[in-house]
Amino acid sequence: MKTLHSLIFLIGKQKTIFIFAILTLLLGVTFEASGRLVIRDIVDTVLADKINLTNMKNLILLFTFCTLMQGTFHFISARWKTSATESIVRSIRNKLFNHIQQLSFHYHDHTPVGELVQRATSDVDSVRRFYGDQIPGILQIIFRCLIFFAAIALIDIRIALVTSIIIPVLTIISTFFFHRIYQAYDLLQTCEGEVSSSVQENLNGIRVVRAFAQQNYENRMFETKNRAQLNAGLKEVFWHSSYWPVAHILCGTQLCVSILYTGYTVINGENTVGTLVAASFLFNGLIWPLQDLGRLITEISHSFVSFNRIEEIMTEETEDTENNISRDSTLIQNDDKPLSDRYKNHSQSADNSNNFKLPLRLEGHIEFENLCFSYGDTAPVLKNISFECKPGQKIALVGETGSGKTSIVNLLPRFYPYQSGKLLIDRIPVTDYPRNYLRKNIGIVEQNPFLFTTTIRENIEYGTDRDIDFEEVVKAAKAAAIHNDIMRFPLKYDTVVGEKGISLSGGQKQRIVIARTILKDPHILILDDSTSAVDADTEQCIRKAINNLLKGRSTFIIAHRIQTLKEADIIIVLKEGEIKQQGSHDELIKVPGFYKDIFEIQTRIEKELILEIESNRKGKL
Amino acid sequence: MSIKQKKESREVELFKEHYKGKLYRRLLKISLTKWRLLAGFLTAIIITAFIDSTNTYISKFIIDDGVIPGNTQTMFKYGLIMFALFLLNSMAIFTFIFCAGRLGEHMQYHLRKEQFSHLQKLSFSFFDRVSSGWLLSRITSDSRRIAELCTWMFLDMTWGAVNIVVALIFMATINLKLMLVVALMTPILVIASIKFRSLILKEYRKVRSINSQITSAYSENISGVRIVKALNREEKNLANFSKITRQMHKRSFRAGWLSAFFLPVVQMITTLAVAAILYVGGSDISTGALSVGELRAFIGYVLFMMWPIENLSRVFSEMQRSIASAERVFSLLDTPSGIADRKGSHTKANFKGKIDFCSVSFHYEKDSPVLKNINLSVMPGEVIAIVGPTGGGKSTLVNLAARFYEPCKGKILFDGEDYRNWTQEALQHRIGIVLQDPHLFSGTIRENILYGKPDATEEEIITAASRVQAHEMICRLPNGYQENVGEAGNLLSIGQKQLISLARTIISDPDIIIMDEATSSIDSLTEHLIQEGIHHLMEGRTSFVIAHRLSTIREANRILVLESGQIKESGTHEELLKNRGHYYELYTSQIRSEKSGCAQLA
Repeated sequence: MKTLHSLIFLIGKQKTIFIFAILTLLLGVTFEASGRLVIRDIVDTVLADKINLTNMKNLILLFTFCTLMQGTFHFISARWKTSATESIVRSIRNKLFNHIQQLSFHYHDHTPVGELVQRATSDVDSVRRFYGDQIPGILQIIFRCLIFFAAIALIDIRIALVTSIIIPVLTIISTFFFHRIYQAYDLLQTCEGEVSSSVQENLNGIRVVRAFAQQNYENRMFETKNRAQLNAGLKEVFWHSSYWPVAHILCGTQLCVSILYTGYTVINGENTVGTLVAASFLFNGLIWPLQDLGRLITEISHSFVSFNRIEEIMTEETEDTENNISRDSTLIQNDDKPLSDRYKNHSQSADNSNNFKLPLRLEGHIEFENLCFSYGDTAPVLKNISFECKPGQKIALVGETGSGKTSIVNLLPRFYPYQSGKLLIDRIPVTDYPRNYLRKNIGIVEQNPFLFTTTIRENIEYGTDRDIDFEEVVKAAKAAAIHNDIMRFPLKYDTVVGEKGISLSGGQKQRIVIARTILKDPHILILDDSTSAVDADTEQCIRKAINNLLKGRSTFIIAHRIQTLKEADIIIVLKEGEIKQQGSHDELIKVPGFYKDIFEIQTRIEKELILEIESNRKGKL
Repeated sequence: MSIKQKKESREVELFKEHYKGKLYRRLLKISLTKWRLLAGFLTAIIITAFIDSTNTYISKFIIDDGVIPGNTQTMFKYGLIMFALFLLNSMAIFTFIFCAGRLGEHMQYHLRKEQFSHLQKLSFSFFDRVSSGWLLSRITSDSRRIAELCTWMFLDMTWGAVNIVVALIFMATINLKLMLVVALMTPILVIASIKFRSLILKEYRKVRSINSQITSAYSENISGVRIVKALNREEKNLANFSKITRQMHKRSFRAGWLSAFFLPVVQMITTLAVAAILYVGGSDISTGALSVGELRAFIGYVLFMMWPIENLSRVFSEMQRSIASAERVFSLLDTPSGIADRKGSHTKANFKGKIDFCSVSFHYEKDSPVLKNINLSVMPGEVIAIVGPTGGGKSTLVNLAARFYEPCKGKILFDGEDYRNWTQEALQHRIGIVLQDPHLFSGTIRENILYGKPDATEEEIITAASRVQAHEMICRLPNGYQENVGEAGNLLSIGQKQLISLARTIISDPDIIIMDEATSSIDSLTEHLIQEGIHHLMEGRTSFVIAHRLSTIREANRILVLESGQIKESGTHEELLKNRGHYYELYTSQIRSEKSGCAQLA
């Protein structure tokens, strides 16, 4: 019931239109019934001993008028209904989109993308059908029952009562069957999903399949899934093929009973022949649509489930990007204020006691003090982290996968909250800065750069919220050593990247992200320094680009290469969330420890080769 | 034109060329494999169409022969007949839903099965040209549409046509003049309906395309949500999204009201006809040329007529799409598999590992040769490292060795015999292939290792994992060998995936190893483990390696420098360095960037 209430509440501003749509629907059904009643008078007029031609003409005109009205109102109703539905759904889509992008990192870490997309698309569509099909559909059936019943009752209340026996019977039976049909349908959907994903997986791994000559195995695996879908499909067919004949025979019986009963009353002289003719049309209009009732009832219960799944997302608390008191919004909260307004309001109000005047530029002094951190309830990821980064310094983080390198840098832009200790930027706790202020001033170049499906130019401009002229973009691209690559693409800077456009190599993507970060001009920089193998020249370009980027900024580098490590002011060696060693390359290389070990493994081969080449050269000389 | 567009247009071309007529015959042939179901639903639907028209006619008898003369017995007699017909009809309804439904499901099943197993035979060049999403919709939605065409659409069409014809016959027996009016009206109404339907369908297609934009906007924004947040893009992205939803609103409103227009209009036209009939028929009744029951039946026919018309127009407007689906699916099934096994090929293979390339040339497209006249002789157990610039033909060379492609000219001999004398399956069972991107299948680690040898024992699995240094890593995971690797193995790190893919290869105990060494950099300790794993894998096996790591290259028995499709140099590491040729250039420059750190230490 609560769900129904929320769903009705969601109609919101579209209430008037929606109510009009329902009223016109009611009018349409009324005219439909009236038209059929007019037929009675026509028949009776015709059968009268003295035929009254003008009367008949008028009646036929009335009949035509009724049906024209019926069609017109049905059409108007459908048009308003569509308009209201699409507006409601649009607002749900927008709210959901915005809400999802405001949810915390923690939430996104634990929710698969597919799951969210699924809810945002097919569940929203199911809610759309609630407004567009199910509500109007069920109302139309109810209106028909009421008005046609009234129309028949107008002729003879007994006939009306006899005819309405079918209503409760068919409602119960069809609801039962459609419940089963939907279960079968759900199963079929699941099976179909499994077939799709097994095809998808096979195609993605087709080279592995061939490499291991496992075609037969794959065929067998697919056969299981395929057969499961076949069986689910057959089950659905079975339930359909059981329901419709049952419904048909029930409706048919009711029709026979009603007609015969009416005929009986006519023979007894209680009713006219015209009544029988009109009533037989009314019976048809009342009885047959009832077959669909079960479908609508079942679908509505499914829409409720979908709606609750959407509400689940909407009640998740969002990340507050402006240091406001956290708001929990739901779908039904009618908050249409655009983000920008909220932002403006905030920057003007100074009622938050933590508020201070945000500096125009961060100096880049960063201090970790006994900081501990874990993702949710899991084991601690960072333990007692303490170190200091002076403005403009380069901090390199090294350690195995899972040692906490990424977690440290993720705390700077407040992607996650830490549990204890302190993290100060320019001697002020990060929690006092609004999240979007920090993110505006911290640049990140990730290991697996993510580009959006749009033009290269827009991807470079992506992080900057001021107007940028093209020259600036080109300048940034040149500094990132990607300009020449871009000029080789068919549409240059207007080339679309990603799934619908050209695919870029990892190195190219990374340099586009570097250009984006150069344009953004952040005061603090986070860099995941791992390029996939590229040829030597490109490698040099990237190195140059990164060096351009680093100038004068406090930088955190997740390092994989010796050269990067050597250039850092401080190297922090992490193991299982703790700082094992810290100091400069020259300091650390002298003491035995973790750093010296990895350094040696990594350099041994190269060292040997260099010696070899050197000796080779000497030999030749 | 973007690469993707090119790809798509090529996909279309591919299937335009291949496909040659015979579509309907082929559809019929598929349907006839379950001919009992086909016959069943056809018979049943014709019965239903008859009964649907007859019932109206019987109500005429009830009125004219029962009610008006006041003959209760006759009325009940006809009432009973009517009931019997309802009973018969419900049986027919059961039969056609049951038969058509089953036929549809079986057809879909067979189409999916055939396509899937056909895909397993197609050559790699096919998959280079065609995207997996495209193929997926052939197997899922196109198969469904074909089944619908042969069952429900065929059924609706039959019902509509039979119903109209039978109704017209009944009408003719009642009153020929009135029937002619209706008969003239029907085709016009049908054609107009089809046209209008197609228009609506076109609108809905636009809605669907915007809908897919919405879906991809969601999925992109959610997959990139971290970047969106990091770059403060929430507001702009919402504004962009809002533009798409506005489009959606506009389009679906238009499509919605257009389709809401359809039924009322058909309904109104039919009722206008009813009014005309009432007018003409009314005066006929007074002259006695028409009975009340007949008039009622006539009106009943005309009112009911809108349903077959609606059905026919829907079927005709949707048919085009289904036929296009059928064309695509059949042409996919007709695509010849690139490499076929010769008749009488050996089905069992066991190699010592001697491999010879005899004047092998290869091209993907004519006039652009990829490999030119390669001659190469590899001794059993020899490790060959292949180096060279991108596009030099390295991948093609190993793909030929693995017989993913066959040479356009020349021969490849395994143990002195043309490798085409074995079946592909037999051959590839003896070749272990390690790909650059270590693709894992969703499932557990254990299942992924088993992929190399489905009947391996627990012991064998652990031995294999230990030999490539993966065992310890696996044991450290919370669920050990039962750890779920996620879709495409994405829950594991690249390094972990590589180790597991090595284990998967070593358990199949191949005679020949073909490897495209991974390039992405991972942390030094894991990298070290992988190096050792590779070393163990290649021990005593003839190996081809596209090498990126210096250690792999240095350990190779022979290094081939492949450039523009030719072997420019070959020899051991030391020999090639002494030559000061291509290899020396390639590798001194490759390490120059990393050199500075080491050189100082040296």
